[in-house]
Amino acid sequence: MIDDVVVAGAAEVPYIRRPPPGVTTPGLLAEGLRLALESAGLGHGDVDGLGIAAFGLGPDHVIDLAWHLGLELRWMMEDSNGGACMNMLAHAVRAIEAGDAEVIALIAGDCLVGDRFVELASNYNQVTRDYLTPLPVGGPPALFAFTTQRHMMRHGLSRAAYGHVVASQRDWAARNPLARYRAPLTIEEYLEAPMVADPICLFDCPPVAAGADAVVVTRAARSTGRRVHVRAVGCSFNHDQHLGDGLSTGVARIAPGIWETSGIGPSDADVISVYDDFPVMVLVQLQDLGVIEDDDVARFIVEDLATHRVAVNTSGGMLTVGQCGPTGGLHGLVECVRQLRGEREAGQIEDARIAIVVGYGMVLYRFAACSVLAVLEAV
Amino acid sequence: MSDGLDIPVCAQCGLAAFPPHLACSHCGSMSWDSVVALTGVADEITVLRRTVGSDPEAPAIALGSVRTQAGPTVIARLDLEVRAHDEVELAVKRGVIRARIARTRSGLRSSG
Repeated sequence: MIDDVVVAGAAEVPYIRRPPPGVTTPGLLAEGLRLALESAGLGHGDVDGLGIAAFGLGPDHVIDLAWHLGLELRWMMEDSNGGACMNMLAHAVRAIEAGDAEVIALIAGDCLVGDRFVELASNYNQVTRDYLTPLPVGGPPALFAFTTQRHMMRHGLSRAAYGHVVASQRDWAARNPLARYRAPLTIEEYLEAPMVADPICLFDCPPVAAGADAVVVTRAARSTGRRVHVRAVGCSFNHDQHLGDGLSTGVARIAPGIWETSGIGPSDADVISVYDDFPVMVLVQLQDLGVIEDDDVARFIVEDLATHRVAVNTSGGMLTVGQCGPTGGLHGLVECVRQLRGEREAGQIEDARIAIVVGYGMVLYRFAACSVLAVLEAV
Repeated sequence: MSDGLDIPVCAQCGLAAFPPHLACSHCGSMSWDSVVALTGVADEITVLRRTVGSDPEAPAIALGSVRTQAGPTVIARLDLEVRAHDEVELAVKRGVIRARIARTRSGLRSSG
């Protein structure tokens, strides 16, 4: 178990669907730093480590950003793992344990909307450029349409099952002032929504936005308020070499070790955050975690997820808040830290002490290849 | 337009992989042969109706997740008549992997 590393602060720069002129990726990252430091009760001069995930930072790199932010650093990283950018947390924890840095800010953010988003989606990697964009595929919805169909077939689910995932997160979103789509969603409304790529409908797709998420990682002694310890964090990359069907992620590979390291299991969690682009992946990752103990997905949706008996994606998730490049990789971490610090007001889970956070990202061809799993405990 | 789709096959262990890789994920070999997959099965199909930034008047297109006879699953543009679980013929036209309902051919062909 990791003893002495905490997430001392967490913040989200409110997402904007249509950012006005002047809103930039570096500007959003800077605001994320400011808010996270404020949350941590630490100052600009305390920061000696910086990790950044942003697709739209180029041609600059993190050193350029650090310069413009006036930061002198001993530790720095530039992450490119999208929705799995929480792997920066694993690196930051090791760096602090090793004494390479004392106060590390991890920030994910982007201002990639409209044509810039299309450019990103069309050139996500060489394989996308060579084999998907010419079809055209137009981004991930069509790919996860296939994944959803396989999942429906395997578990005997109808479209309504995925509607319950979205509706459940809408219910949470009603208690999150930072969520964009906060109105309740009925299953009937879900089923009647415009199709994007059958069976993926409009409500299955996180709205593209501009914004940022940020956390501050440091030693327990440097934190103020309730301490949120990182008890374990691990990563998996290329768990199945893309030979599988996308219905299992690297989480299944690393979860047993994480439970052993932390002494905490999936049933201990007061709040869980899993990457939710798209609803099918919420269910897949919960299965990989072992949260759906009997593997009866239909029962779990009705009895545990829709009722909030298991608290999943309590911010409303990306499906209601939005997606700003790789922010989904830190959004769940920010939400869970805020839950464990008792900062969520109307959306607060009573006596929340343990959180499980999962990141998932980087679609190589048919599905994504990177997973991160972290266990947090408030003391 | 070329008949079939070239599928790389590891020269050492025979693992078929698509898209092409530098090294085999099974044995690490960097030597590759290839076969031509003439057919496959459209395991899942979808109709792509809209994307971010697309012309709302643009016609919908059909895409499929096609399990090739060589093993790997590929994403292909489908003829609109293709239904899930149909056997399809594969071809590459102007860099686009295409699939239509199989009529006469089946199986694999050695490349070259």
